Parts: sequence; structure tokens; C-alpha cells
Amino acid sequence: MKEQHNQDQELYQLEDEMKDMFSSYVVKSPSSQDTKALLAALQPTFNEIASSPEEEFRQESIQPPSFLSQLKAQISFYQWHFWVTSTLIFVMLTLFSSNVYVTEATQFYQFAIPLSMLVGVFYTYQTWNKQMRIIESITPFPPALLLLSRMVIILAMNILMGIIGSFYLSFKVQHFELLPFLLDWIAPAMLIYGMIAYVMMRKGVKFGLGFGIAAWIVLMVAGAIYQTHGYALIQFSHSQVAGIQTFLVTLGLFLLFLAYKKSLKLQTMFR
Amino acid sequence: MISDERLLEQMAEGDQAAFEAFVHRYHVPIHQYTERLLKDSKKAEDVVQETFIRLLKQLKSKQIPTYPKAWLYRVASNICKDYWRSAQYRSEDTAKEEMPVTVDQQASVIEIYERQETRKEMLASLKNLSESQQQIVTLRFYQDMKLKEIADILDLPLGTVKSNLFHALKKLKGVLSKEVEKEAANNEGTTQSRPRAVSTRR
Repeated sequence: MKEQHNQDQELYQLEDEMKDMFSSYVVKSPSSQDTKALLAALQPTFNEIASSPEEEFRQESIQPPSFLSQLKAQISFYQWHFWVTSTLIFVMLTLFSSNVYVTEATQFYQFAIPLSMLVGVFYTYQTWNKQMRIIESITPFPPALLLLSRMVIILAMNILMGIIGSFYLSFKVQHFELLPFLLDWIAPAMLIYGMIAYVMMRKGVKFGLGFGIAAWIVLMVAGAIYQTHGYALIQFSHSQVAGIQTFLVTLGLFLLFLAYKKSLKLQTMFR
Repeated sequence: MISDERLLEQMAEGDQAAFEAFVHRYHVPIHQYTERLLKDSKKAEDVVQETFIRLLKQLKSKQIPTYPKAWLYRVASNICKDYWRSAQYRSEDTAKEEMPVTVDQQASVIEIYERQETRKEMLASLKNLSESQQQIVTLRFYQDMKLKEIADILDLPLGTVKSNLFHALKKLKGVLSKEVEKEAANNEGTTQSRPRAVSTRR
């Protein structure tokens, strides 16, 4: 990989050196009169199109945008150091959580996983533009769909690593119940993620990220307030909590689906 | 700006305005590209016309190219290749290096002369490249294309495009450096040696 990088560097350097030399080879641009003459020459052939029988268009080898193929293609976009860093963060989170009580482990997960997702989306956006332009110019896929596919990779990675960590904790932590623990962190993470994707497709990337950060803070603060004062006012049974969390997961997935639908129609780059 | 694909859809429906807009959009770049490949403005115009005719025939059968820009360059490249292989090309006098340079009203006589000299060297050195290398160099430097786009147009793997471009540039650099050295040697001893555009630019 390093060798390839060096070769590319050498090529770009050579290109820079030669650029001036090439600028000497100027050719004549056809005038607007030339273009008119060309149009006149092409007109009879163009007229044949209008007189040809009606037929359905066949977009030559155009495939409808496939989200799955995009996901596969976009995984390679993330470089090895991104995966290694993400894995290290989850290993540290899990090891740290394995030495505390269940309630504290839940809080760590509720705090860290949405944050990890936000950082992941930010990283995607920051490294998006240059590569995006290249891909946009050579594929029929809407650029927004490409961004969304990268975001879904971030989501899938966080959920997968979170689940693996949760399994590890279920063996290490006393009085640990796997399903409620999973719902405790997946519900807020999914809701925040759905919100980011939905707002991003409607108002732009910066708006989406800002909204995501705000939603994350609100959920964290609301959780802390409920744990300190809320029990006295209202108490939810375990099944009620599970019901609310399932609703939040569904809502997050629904927002993500709406974002996907919207991304198919967006044709412009957005900030 | 309306996309190429949309313009072609409208053209396929017989929309005159879309047809004119599309031809206006691509006439100059495709002409310049083919002129650089063929080193003949008249022949380039024929190739441009043939390229657009092939596009219109494609639209007549209601087949819209996936990526119109790449499609146009690919077809133009193929027509140039056919021409190079033709008996007409071999029988024609191909001494076309004397074509006039676009006149820049701001440039001085010396500058124009130097530019013409450099241009001649450039043209001569391009002859050292293979057809494919010439196409790659032209697309990269004069059509301002990305390497991936060039790979798509020429239907070559990206790595092949990179290595071809690299070897082409190395070769050109070598040829042009020799020319400069030769010129410098010739000028030695003369009292009024003319500064060369090639050597002074870097």
C-alpha cells in the first residue's frame, strides 16, 4: 500500500513538473458559427428521432441505485486506522464497564455509543468531499445516498461492537440482564441516529450533526434528571420501559428509512 | 445546471432546445480533444460530427448512455483510432505541425515565436508516445479529467492508466530535455542567445 502511495506521489510530482510544458500546446476553439454549422449538419439526424415510433427508454446498463451495493463499495472508503481506533475505543469501553455495577455500565454505554456515532458521522463528513466528487462523477448514484450509506456503516459498526461488548459484560458483570441492557443503549443511539439522518437529508449535514448533538445532550440530561428526581414523581414498570425503548428504536429506524427515501431524490451536494 | 442525462432524455423525446444545449456544451471540448489527437482541425470536425451522429442514432433507439461525457469521449477516441488504422491516414501528408497557434493579442512577437517553437517541440515529442498514451496525456492535461474518468473512457484499469501516464510523462520529459540541451549547445558561442520558453518557465 505504501509502495502504491509512493508511486502515486511520484506521478503527481511529475505531472506538476510537466504542466507548464503542456500549456504551450494551444489549439483553436471552434467558434459559435462552427457550432451552428455543426447543429445544421446534425439536424436531419436529430429530426429522425422525433419521427421514430414511441418506445420506452432503455437506460443503457443503468442499474437503479442499490443500497446494498453501495454499502459494500463504501466499506473500503474507511481506512484501516479508522477500524482499529474504533475497535480500541470499544475494547476500552467494555473493559472499563466490566469493573462497575450494571447501572453504571448502562450509563457508560448510553453516553459513549451515541457519542461514537456522532464522531463517526463527523469523520465521514470531513473526509467526504474529495472522494465524493470523484464517485459522483462516475456513478449514477445520488450523492446523498452515498453519504447515507457511509453513515449506515458507522451505525452498523457501533451496534455490532456494542452487542459484542454487551455479550462480554453478560459473563463478567453480576446481576447482568442482556436484553434490557441492550435496549438501554440501543434505543437512545438509534433514535439519535435516525434524527441525524432525517435532519441531514432535509436541512444539510451541519444541521443534522448539530441536531444530533443537541438530541444526545437532551437525552443524557433527561436520563440523569429522571434517575435523581423522576422516580419520586413517576415510576415505570420494566415492561413499560421496554415498550418505550422499543418505540424509540422503531422511531429511529423509521426516520432512517425516510432519510433513505429522501436520499434517492437528492441530486445536489449539500453542506 | 441541467444534467447531461436529463438533456439526453429530452433529446430522445425530440426536444430541439435540449439538442442545441447539449451540442453547445460538448462541441468545444470534444473538438479540442480530437484535434490534439489527430493534429488536424478539419479532420477533428469530421470526428466531432460523427461522434454526435452516433449519439443521435443511439438516442433514436431510445438507449441513453449511462455517463454521457465518458460515452462521448470514448466514441470520439474510437473514431480517431479507426482513422489512424485507415488507409486514408497512411496516404495523407501528415505534416501538420505548421498549424497556426491561437493568436493572443496581448503577446509580443517574441512570445508568440517562442510559444510556436515550444509547441512544435511538444507536438514532435507527443509522436514518441503510443496511441493510448497520447489519449491519456490529452485527457489528463487538456480535458482536465480525473484518472478514474480516463480509465472509464478508455476502458482500462485505473492502474494501467496511472502507469501509462507515468511512463508517457517520463518519456516526454526525457525527449524535451534533450531538445533543450541540443538548443543550448547550438546557441553556445552566439552572442544573442534566445532565452527558451521551455527552460525559463520552470
